[in-house]
Amino acid sequence: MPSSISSSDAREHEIHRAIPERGWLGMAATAAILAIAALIGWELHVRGRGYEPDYDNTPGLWVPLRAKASGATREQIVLVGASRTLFDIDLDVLQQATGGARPLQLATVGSSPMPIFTHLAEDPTYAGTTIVGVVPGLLAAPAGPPIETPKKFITKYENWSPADAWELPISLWLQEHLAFIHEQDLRLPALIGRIELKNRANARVPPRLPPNLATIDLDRRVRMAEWARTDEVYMREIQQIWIPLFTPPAKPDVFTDEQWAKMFADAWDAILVQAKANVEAITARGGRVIFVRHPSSGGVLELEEKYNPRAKFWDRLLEETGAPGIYWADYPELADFECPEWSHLSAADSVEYTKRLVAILKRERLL
Amino acid sequence: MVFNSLVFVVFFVVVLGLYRFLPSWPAKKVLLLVASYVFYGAWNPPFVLLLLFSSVIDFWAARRMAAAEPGRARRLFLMVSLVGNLGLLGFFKYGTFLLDNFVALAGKLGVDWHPAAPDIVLPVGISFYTFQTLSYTIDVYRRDLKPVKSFLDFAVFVSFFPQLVAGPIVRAADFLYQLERERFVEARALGWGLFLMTLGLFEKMVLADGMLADTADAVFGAMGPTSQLDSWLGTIAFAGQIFCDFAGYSICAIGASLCFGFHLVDNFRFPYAAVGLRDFWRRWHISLSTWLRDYLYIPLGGNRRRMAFALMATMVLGGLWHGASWNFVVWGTLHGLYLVIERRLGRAFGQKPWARHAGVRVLLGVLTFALVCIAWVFFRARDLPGAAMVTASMLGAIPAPPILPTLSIVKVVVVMGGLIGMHVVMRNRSIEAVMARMRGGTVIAVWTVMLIAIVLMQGGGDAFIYFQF
Repeated sequence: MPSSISSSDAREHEIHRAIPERGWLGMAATAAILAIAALIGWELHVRGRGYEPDYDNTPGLWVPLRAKASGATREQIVLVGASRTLFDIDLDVLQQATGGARPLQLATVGSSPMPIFTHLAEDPTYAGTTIVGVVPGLLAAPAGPPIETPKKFITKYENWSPADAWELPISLWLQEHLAFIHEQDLRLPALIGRIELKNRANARVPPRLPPNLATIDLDRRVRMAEWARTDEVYMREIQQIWIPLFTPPAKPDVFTDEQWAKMFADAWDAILVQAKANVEAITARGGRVIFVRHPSSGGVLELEEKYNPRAKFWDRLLEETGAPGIYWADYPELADFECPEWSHLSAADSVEYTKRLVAILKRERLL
Repeated sequence: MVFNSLVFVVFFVVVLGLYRFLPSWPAKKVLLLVASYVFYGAWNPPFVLLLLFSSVIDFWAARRMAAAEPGRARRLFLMVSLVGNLGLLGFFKYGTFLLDNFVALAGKLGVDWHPAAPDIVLPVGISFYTFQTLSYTIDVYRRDLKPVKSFLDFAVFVSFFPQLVAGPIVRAADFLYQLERERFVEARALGWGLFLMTLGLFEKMVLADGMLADTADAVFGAMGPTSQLDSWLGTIAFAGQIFCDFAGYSICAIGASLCFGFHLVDNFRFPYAAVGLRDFWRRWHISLSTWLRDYLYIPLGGNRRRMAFALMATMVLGGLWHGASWNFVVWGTLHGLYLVIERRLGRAFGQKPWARHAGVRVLLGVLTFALVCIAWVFFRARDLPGAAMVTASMLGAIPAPPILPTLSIVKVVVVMGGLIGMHVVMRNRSIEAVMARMRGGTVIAVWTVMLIAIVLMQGGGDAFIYFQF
């Protein structure tokens, strides 16, 4: 019989699904017990590998903070940018130094600041002090994951439903108690993605991200794990992970060198036009915009200086937008900070870095 | 609220618990109605009013229709229902599309007109419950069904949460009678319902989202053409993704309904083992294809001499049912063409002995899957130029480098090989019959593995694709 449905004699249209003759509830209970036992084993295993319960850096954490940014006045500091803004800025220090409300951390990993910066600028109620963290290669990205990632966060904010609001506390409770709930490293696709196979030339292999590098709290303050910082082998491994991520994509054969260069130049011009419009919109409402270039080191810094030299990138950004900016290397008190894995500060250094950054911002009357 | 969420688990347990212990059938039905409105309102509370509006209009129109004399009065009440339901669907689903195309046409004619963007939010599942309520009023108009006396029963039929937002599209005749007698939570149905829900979530979260979506996204989101192999793999991955996503939802819906004692119709019967497009549409989204057959194709003269016209019109409108975009029009048109050509060829060669040869049927099955995949390109691509580019890549017309990592290829081959193989094996069987014969230890092992895999997906799955329809 192809169908599991049969008509009943009692009624022409009656639907009756066949239910296999088995002790389904008993089997359900057995399967549930076995699954729970296996998951307890998995939990113990990942704890043994150094994982601890931690929040996932998902839109669920971001949306409530973005909601608070609506209606923000000049006294409210709002941070946008990429992972350097998440790792390098200590929210406690920033709050104490300014004496104001808790800063709102809206940066997202691997992102251009532009989508969220623009989203704030287009919010007519927003007039906060916006600290825009800029990573050269990410700010200049015209498309791809640096744009799509923050857009996912914005889309979730714009479509935030009662179901999302109810889901969040349940999800957070589980994240607070279970180490294996770790979206980036221990989700099934990530586990399968660890299988290494030889790839064809030109294959677009997803970036390998450093496992268990940092923790995040409910305010989205990210701290580099202390064990990771002190593990020099691990730090060197991560350094090599960054290299392909900070290398621009290869030119497809369908474009000439001139066409390829012009595409990026045009895209960069468009980004500057949008950034200028954002600065004007926020300042017109009484808010502020400050660009900050956080430290990088070693091979990552070399790549950044090679592909996005300061004159083309940073100087032009400030010139076109008219906004003030802090470039870490310009200030002796910031210039000595070293990123152990070339891209982010350690948790301890981020505290000191934030103190010195705030002092500079105050000295230059930017806060 | 989506099935693949933690909040649904809590919601389901609470509603099922209350349902189990409520003392009377009317109280249980009130609970189901309130729960369904909470379930739907959890996306966007004001849209519950649309459900209520649709329920009131159709309940009232059907009652008046049944009481009216044959002739204009009956047609008038039918028109009230059609205009009310299709008007809502037209405004929310097709308003922006019609306006955009009108503006584009005006531009071609030299009229430079720029109206304000309407900014219309599409209510989740509106196409599903609109077709569901329309089936009721049309059946009453045709005197195939007596109007229901209880508004509570009708409102539960329209809003029943397990299948509200993505089907199966339940006919009134298949559901309203189930509200006449009390339904109980029975141990065997509850356990089997939970198994089906696990299977549906496994298909959706693990296979669709976890194993196939990234390959389809990579090919259809590529900035340019991809190699012929990669284009086919991306399209086949999407074929698997949309099946596991949609069939997964339907299985969850059937399982959740069983837990409450309700029986819903099948929506899928192993469609990738279909031999011919007609066979495919008897296996894919059955509740929609039979709805279109009964309320569109046959009234348009499909059983008479206007077969080709009726088929094309039905499939194009069926395409538009999925969404307001030219991509869906092309998708429906392709399926219409496939079916018309198949009918013509069937008449010419169907009775030949070689047509029933096993080898020929295997080849026809492969051809059916390939044609379905080519149509899926238009369903998945962002726009028509994007679809044309992927199609050209599949045909080898655009040389391009490979982009897919080896692991993605392995995942598609393993998952789709397993899925299609299972469809072939199960082609003339039902899952119930197979599960009845399977050893208990094997069932428990399969169930356990599915549960573990679902948990390891960590709820990171996306919303079901068919919600947008």
